[in-house]
Amino acid sequence: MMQNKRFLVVLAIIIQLIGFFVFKYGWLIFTIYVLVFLSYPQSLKPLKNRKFWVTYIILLLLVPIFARDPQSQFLGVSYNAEVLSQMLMMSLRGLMLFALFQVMTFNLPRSTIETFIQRINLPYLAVILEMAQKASPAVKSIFIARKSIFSRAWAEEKSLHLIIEYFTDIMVDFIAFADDLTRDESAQSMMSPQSIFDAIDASSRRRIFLVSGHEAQGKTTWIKAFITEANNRKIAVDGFISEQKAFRQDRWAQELVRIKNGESHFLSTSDEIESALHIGKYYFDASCFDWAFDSRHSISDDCLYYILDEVGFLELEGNGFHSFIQFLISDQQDINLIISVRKKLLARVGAYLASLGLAAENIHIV
Amino acid sequence: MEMTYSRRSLAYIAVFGSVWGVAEATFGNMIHLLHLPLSGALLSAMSLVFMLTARRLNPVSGSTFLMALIAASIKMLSFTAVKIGPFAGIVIEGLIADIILSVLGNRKSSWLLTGFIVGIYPIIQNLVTKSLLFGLDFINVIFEMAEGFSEKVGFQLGWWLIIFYIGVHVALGLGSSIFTWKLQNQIEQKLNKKKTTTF
Repeated sequence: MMQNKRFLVVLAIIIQLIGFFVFKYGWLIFTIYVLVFLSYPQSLKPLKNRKFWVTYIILLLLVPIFARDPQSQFLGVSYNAEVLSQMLMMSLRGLMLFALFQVMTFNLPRSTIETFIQRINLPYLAVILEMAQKASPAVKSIFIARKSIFSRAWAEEKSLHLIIEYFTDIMVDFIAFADDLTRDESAQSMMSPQSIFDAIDASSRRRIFLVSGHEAQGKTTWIKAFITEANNRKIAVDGFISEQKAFRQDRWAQELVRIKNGESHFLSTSDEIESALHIGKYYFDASCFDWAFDSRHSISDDCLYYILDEVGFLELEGNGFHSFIQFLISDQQDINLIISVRKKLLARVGAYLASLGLAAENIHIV
Repeated sequence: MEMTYSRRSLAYIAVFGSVWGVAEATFGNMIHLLHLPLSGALLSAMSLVFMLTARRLNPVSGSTFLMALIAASIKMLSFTAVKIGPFAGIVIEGLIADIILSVLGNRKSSWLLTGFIVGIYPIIQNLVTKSLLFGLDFINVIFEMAEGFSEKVGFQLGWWLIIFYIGVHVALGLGSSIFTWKLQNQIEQKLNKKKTTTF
């Protein structure tokens, strides 16, 4: 039905266009636009855009005024009437063909283009499209997070160096992400919590386990399983996990919960709050990290594993758990650390930990 | 010609195609909404950064064209209705860049040529579209107007305006290529630093 309607309107416009081209009936523009307005009014939306009319202003005003041999005058402005008439016909042709093109392409179902792409049948295209579909949300997250970091830095100092740094960092993020996708997915599957205890000597200390995964891929779930397993083995575990406390469509809030005693503190929200810490869609309560840092005084001596869920852009910028991590990996602390990390930031967090003086052989990716 | 891509190549095409597409859909739609002048030139300059960076990391023939197809598909999905113009524009830009880089290789001169041609591509696309709409006389009309304008105002101003318009496009294209070339050194430094510090 819809196809028939489009076909009939296009046919009617073409017939009128023939009338215009053969007999120079300029008035046909009115019948064409009445027809389009009645059948596809939304397709005429571009006419509201001022930019659309720039070419017509050039053709109808500037060209006749600046043409050679201006014989006519209007309000004291001389112009070439012959050129004006020629430009009028050109403009009418443009408007009519525009209407035809709009009706032909307006609200075309996406499947039409998708079918076109499939028909091209390029090697690997289907695989790449599928990969791109999976990659797009992460790409958007990187853009949002980097923009947020850049905005904060830009507010403090405006320089070309900062712009180059921004582009460099964002490209390095994308390269890390692409490299991450390159790795064989089977090799990326997480080690089970049990296997950590089985593989690591019970007396070993000062190791870091990076639990990596994409957003909502089960990092906190893995950590909870790890705590359960530790409890079963009577191994003392402390630290913090983040829990989503409210979820309604795109609005949520997170709390930081201490593993040892269940105490909690508001961590972040999707709602804009007055906070110095803001990364992408996350607005953090900076006092939460102070609260967490204060807990260092009450870590038990027998605590073998300390958990931080999760470490990312905040810490890379020297905020969030940064001070706490420095404290935990300092020489005085004889403890193993478990940190959850977004997969796209894995390499950068590894470099960050190394920059804090941690030996590479003590870092394990789970 | 049978093209073979490694898993790494496919990942780079997918990721950088998505990056280009997301940037087109957000930044591109924003500058169109703001009715900024030279929006086509600005978008071409931006796309060059992604195209050339990806090509340097993944120097495989056909990869830039495939990236463009991914970017165009993502941009297309950002509109409520299918728009052929932006889709065709991105794909043709990718095709031009791919041909130049495949023939001339990944060197500074070929990057500059790519920047030059992709830079002026919005003018070419505009002229082709306008010639289809208004007739083949459109280009003559523009030249005649420039001449008439120059005669009336003096200083060859009409021609200078055209040269300025083309010059801005060329400058943005070449500037973007040079910026991306310099960016590669920074990126490589950061990546090398990371290799030496990571596990």
